Amino acid sequence: MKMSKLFYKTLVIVVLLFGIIATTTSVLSGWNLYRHLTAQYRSKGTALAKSIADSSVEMLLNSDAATVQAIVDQFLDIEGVSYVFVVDAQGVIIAHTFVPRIPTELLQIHGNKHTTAIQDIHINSMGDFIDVAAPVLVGVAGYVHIGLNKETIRVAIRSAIIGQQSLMFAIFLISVLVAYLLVNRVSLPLNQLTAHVKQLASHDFSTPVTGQADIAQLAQNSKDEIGELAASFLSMERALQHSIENLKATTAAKERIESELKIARDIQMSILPRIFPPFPKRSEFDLYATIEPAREVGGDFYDFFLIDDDRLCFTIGDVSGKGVPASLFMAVTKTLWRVTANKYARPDRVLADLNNELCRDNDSGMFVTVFYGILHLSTGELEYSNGGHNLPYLLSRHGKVQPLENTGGMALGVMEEVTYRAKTIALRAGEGLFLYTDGVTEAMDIADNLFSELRLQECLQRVNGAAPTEVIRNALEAVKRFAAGAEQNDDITTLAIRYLRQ
Amino acid sequence: MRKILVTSRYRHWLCVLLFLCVPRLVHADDLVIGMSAAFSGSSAALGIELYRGSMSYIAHVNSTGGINGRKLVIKAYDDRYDPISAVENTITLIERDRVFLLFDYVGTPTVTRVLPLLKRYSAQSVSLFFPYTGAQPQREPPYDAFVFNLRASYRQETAGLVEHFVQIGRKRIAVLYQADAYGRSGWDGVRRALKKYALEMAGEATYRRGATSAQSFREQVDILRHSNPDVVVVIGAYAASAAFIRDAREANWDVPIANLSFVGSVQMLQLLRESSQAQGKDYTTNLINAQVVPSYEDTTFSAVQQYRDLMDRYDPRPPADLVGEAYQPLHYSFVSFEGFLNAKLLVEILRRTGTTADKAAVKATVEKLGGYDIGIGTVVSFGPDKHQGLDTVYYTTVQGDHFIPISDWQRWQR
Repeated sequence: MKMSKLFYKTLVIVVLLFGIIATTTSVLSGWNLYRHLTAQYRSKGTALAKSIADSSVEMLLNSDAATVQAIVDQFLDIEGVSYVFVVDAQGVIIAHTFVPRIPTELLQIHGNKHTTAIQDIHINSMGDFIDVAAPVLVGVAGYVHIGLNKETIRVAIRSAIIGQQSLMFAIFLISVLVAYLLVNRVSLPLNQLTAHVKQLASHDFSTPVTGQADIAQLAQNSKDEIGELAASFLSMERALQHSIENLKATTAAKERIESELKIARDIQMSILPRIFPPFPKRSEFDLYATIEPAREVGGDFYDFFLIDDDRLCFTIGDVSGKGVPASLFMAVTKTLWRVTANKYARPDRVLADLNNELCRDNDSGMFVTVFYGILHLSTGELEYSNGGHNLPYLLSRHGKVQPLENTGGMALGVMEEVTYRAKTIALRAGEGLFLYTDGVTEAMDIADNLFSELRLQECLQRVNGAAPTEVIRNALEAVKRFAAGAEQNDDITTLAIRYLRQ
Repeated sequence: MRKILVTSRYRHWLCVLLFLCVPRLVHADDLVIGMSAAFSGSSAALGIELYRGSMSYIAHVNSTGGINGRKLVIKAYDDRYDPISAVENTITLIERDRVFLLFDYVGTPTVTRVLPLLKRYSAQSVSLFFPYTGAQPQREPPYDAFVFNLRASYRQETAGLVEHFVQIGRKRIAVLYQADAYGRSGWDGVRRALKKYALEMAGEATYRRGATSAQSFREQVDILRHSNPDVVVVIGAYAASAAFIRDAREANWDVPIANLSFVGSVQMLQLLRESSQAQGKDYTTNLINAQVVPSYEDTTFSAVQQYRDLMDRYDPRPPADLVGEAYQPLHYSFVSFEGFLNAKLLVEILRRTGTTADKAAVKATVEKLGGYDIGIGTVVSFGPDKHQGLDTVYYTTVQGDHFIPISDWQRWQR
């Protein structure tokens, strides 16, 4: 089984804690034991040395080495006593317990006349000892030395520490077991929750989430933070499920609307003439037009038709705003324009009448800019009137590109009974017009710079004299290059005419 | 008695009963004396042979009418040459067995520790007769009053050895001694003797009491050899002495090695011969052994003749409750001869004391004893201030399988 991360961390902490406790208690109790045992040994050694000293006064004075030896031999049986030796008044060791000989280290050791002298001594190949020297008859008769082995102290300390550490280890094992059980009680439900949430992340909510019942059980059974967590997970999950269902419904609705809008757009586009060349039998002119719709439905339009054998009328327009209202207004404008253009001969009169028609019942406050022109095919005479639209460029035969003179009319649909003026110019063979909506000049690059009339004029200048399809293709390419991937946010509509006398 | 029951097995019941009923039967008018000695352990031969020597004479006395009609019985306990056991045995002998006197104790560390007990029981006038030790404590106040010695002291033995060695130019004398009161006695004896010639001990080393002959003495050999002595005096028991001699000779060190009487010369020689045979090397050259009794081979002495005769006749067994079947008794030895002499003198003293006499009278009798011929060419005499019967030390060396008296020290001249 994989170790729970929570348990692993707890285990590390428990091990660290016990390590610290074990070390400090060992050091402390070892040190304490050493102090106490050493003190005890010193007093024991002192008592023993004094007792030998007291009982061997006469023997020492009589130089009775054998009896002194018999006395000291008895003391070897006492625990911790490693050696005893007795020095007489002349400094000669007259009794000792060493086999096979007296260590040379002890030959240098001396006692005090009035008190017992205690010193630590290391003897090669024997170890460390506490040497207690007691004077016999204030040193006149000699000295008694008792050696207590420090190894005995070390063994006592070692066994005490081993005992203590064994106990610690047992407590440690129990603690680990308890920690394991406790952490498991916490980590099992946590793991269960984690697994559930992971499953949740990859779930698409088209089907109900499995294991919800277990979590509900958990929320009910655990009366602690885990239970609360489970309960909040559960409510979060339900909220999520609910909101995802909402989202799905909204998305479906949006998709439906979008598809309807697309249909509306298709319908809108289909009311514009899309077949070029439009009048293949007429060789007096050449005409081409395009509309590049933006993502949303917009309000641009163009149109043209032959009023009679000699007159070609054409228009381009742009409804204010975007979306469905603009597209409906555009459809209305284009339809009314067809009717009005047939009804009146003069362009200013057509615009004035179209304006009045559009103003009537125009509660939505929408308006439209329109340029309207009539080309007399036999003479090249062009009558035109402008209703607030961008002025088309005249592509003259000697290479000059310039906007037409303005007729000064305002946009249609704003107010009734506005008068429009018309102007007339004459086109010679090979000359033409370029009509466009503000989608061209207001096309933006990524840094929000406008394409501008200046760039459009330069572009037209380069291709002057070419066929309308070529002119438009060039202009659109220039716009596309300029935008360089920036999103198109308005319809781009163009219409170009070239007059070719028979 | 309890000891007998404990150590006996079921199948030995019959033997034990016979043993209890026939020879050891103690009658109310028997004269019981107590003995504590090594009957087991590395010095067992000392206690056993001392007992056998004494028993050869006691058996003879008992079979010829006893002492003034009373039989003499030795009540023996094993102390394994251990001082504490010796003290316990002594208390048992005095308080429970109510022995008439103590006799034939073996060893300095044991006897030295028993001495204060004698003072403790002085009201009962229990004296210790002829312990097998030459140590000083029982020859000096305050304990000399409770002890009668027959043998010469270690001081006399060591003084004699030192004197002879100095005379032949061997002045660098080193000592190997048992780390206890016995060893210390001998060490002290050598030191005192050297002092007379303004000499210092050349070197010294010790060994632990109870050392066996299997033990290595290489360390002691190295220590002593390093001090470059002319002679080594060993204050030890036979097992340790034999081991030391073996290791010294194995190290090609042929320095003369002297031993005291306590060593148990014959047992030592026996051990050396055994290892000599095993190694194919002679370990028995340049050995000098001090003795406190004349050689048991010297049949010009009447006591020697009687000893050999009685040993042959009675061949006393060691106490069966203390000694197993494995022990092979020595035919004759210095130790059993000393035991024989101890018994002979004790019987004489008890005879002189008379049948009605109490314990206190015994002491008075000894102190009046003067010029008694024990049969070894010197007379034994005691007095109120003289509690040691003999002062002669005999020097022997190994020749073949025997110890012979040293007639010419010049062979070790340098």
